[in-house]
Amino acid sequence: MKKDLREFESRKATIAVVAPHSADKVAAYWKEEGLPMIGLPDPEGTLSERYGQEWKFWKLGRMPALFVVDREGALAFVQYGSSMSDIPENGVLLKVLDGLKGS
Amino acid sequence: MIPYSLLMSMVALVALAVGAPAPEFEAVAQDGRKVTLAELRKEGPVVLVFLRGFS
Repeated sequence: MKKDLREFESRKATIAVVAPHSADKVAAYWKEEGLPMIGLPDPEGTLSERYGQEWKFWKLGRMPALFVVDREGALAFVQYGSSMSDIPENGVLLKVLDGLKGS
Repeated sequence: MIPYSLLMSMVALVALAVGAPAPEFEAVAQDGRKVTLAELRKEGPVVLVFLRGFS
């Protein structure tokens, strides 16, 4: 997602990444990697729970999930990953953004 | 241990769908600033990525 950042920026999209780690860990990682997107530490799982991010005992963790929220606050895209590597291609997301009104 | 079927029904209860309102939130970003979904979407659409992970 980092490499296609310009594509997202040209669509005026903000990317926010919710991480299940502590604020300190997230801050350090963002600094180290020079990540341009917003990082949201969620160690207590508050955001994760609110958005219904799935977790599985036998895989010992949270499954990835991805949402696109339009300017009016409605969900334009929802994907709950069924495995640890189940994440949509950037092209899919860019098409969703292109289909939004007023973007 | 919670039975699998019960766990799946719990997941189904909170799963969000396209067209539904995105749950509002307020959070502190990695750089210490407070962000809200309402504020972020003033700038344009918001892509929310929930990382896989262990917690």
